[in-house]
Amino acid sequence: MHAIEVCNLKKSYTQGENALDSISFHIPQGAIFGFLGPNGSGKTTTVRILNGILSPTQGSALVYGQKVTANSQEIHRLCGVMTETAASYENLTGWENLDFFGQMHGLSKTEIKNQSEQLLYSLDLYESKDKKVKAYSTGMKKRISLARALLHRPKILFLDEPTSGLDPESAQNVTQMVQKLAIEHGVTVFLCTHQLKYAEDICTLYGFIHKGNMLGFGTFQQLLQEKNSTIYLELRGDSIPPSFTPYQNANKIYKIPITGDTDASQILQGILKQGGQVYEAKQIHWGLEDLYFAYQRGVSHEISTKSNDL
Amino acid sequence: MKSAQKVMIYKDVKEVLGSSQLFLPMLIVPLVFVLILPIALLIGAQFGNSGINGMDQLIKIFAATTSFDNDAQLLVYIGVNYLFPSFFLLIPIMAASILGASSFVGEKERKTLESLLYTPMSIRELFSAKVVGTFVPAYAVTLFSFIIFGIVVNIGGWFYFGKLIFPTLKWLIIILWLSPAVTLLGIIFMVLVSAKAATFQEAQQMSAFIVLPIILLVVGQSTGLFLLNEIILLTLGAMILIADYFLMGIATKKFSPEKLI
Ligand SMILES: Nc1ncnc2c1ncn2[C@@H]1O[C@H](COP(=O)(O)OP(=O)(O)OP(=O)(O)O)[C@@H](O)[C@H]1O
Ligand SMILES: [Mg+2]
Repeated sequence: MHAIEVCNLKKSYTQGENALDSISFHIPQGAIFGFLGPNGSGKTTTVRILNGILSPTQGSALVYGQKVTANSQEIHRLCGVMTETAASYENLTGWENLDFFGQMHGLSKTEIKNQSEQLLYSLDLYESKDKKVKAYSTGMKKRISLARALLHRPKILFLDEPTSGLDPESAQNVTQMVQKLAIEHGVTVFLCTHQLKYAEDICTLYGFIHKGNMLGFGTFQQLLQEKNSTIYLELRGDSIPPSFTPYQNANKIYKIPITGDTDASQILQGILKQGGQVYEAKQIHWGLEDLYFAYQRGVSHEISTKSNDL
Repeated sequence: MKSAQKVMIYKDVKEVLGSSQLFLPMLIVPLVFVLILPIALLIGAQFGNSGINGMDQLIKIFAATTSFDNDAQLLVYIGVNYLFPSFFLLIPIMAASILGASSFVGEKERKTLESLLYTPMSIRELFSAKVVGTFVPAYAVTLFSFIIFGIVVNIGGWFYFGKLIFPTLKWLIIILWLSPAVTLLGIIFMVLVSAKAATFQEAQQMSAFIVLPIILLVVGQSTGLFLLNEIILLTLGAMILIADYFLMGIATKKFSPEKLI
């Protein structure tokens, strides 16, 4: 059984506009799934549907085999959610917040106490536990939200932008904690983020979403294969013939996907033959960011035909 | 009632007590209505002056139909039984709308509602906990005001009439029948508003729609236009309760995650 199974999921808030456009995917238990896409691409919408607080316009979603539309209470027991739109009570202290939400989850007093203490320690909040949340910094509010999401030991953890607003140290701390949960406790993690660097560090599975369409889904290797390339040639030059340059970064830097040395040499020869000038060239392995942009740009109008040729 | 619901109600009440923005108006407004105004009336009566505008017409009507030992008794009688009852509609409405605005719209504004939606409490349980959690303190404020008012009036009444003049049957109908119905109405109104209003302030402004008719009623009372007798009061309460019942159905439907986040 998959932890999450989504089938032809569609959501439109307003007539004729699809926030999600028939997406399908499934996530095995214990995976750390990086759900990556630009603003407004439908990440938060997906999280809300998977937790049964929004109902899909079409299609179905299962969490541990349970329909999210049918038994949302059971889903809430299984899932821990941290999103920017679900805040803590500002007039209660960090401790009181955890106590309240622990009781809402039906945990016993001792369970709440033990779990809260442990979470507050590992999230570096213990000293501020008796301060009102309104006196917390942005990063501390983020971390207390995370503590809240983890309080009832969920089997699936939904994290919507967990590291934005955190300093590098806390961000790393959080990513490590999430990774530990997945590896040691088999928690499935559904991570929405713009911060590709952190995603790259921990995710085992990726989904690229754009305007409600899943552009790519799979492990890093699978996605690379789909783009038919694991390396690209980074060029700095001028008058590079457009047929060679699907992706251009700033300052005359070009990235050209290649399959290997022969390919690289042929491309360079081609460019030179057609009158291009090359000042610098280097083979680089695709990182998540490259892959992300390759997929995201694949949809944008002019380049779309070319990227299909790759 | 499930224990999670009790926890939620307890949290709501605690939030009210912890916030002066909520707590102060609920303390001051009733105190003006049930302590300062009645004392003014009782003292003013001694000088043949109600201290409250618009009572002259009522006085004319009663002076002609009912016999009192003196003008002071007349003033106190009219004040207590015809002027103040409306305040006991205003107090619950005010309390319900402040508490409701905080409990329903405030949670939405402060983005805590979505956090609640992710807990294992169903939306219906959440709704009923919120309604009860608003009703209990709102009605408690009303009852508390009633007790203070009763004490003040009886002290004054003893002085003018030589006997306890409070509460009358009419008063009991108001406090036990009409006030709860009106409290519920205020809360339901806030639930309906919560789907529309984005902020606590906005919700408060919208709630003026429900307070205004009552203020009109108060003005009507003190100029003798509305002389509500027991039967009218009972009927009015029943009508409000029936309205409550139907509006509650609508409010329950409106209270869906889809509309709240
Ligand atoms: N409550 C709503 N009512 C109407 N439209 C909505 C609502 N919530 C989201 N949308 C629309 O749905 C689309 C997807 O939004 P969503 O919040 O899921 O994006 P996101 O990927 O989480 O973006 P971000 O990275 O900015 O958080 C957007 O076009 C947004 O305008
Ligand atoms: Mg989002």
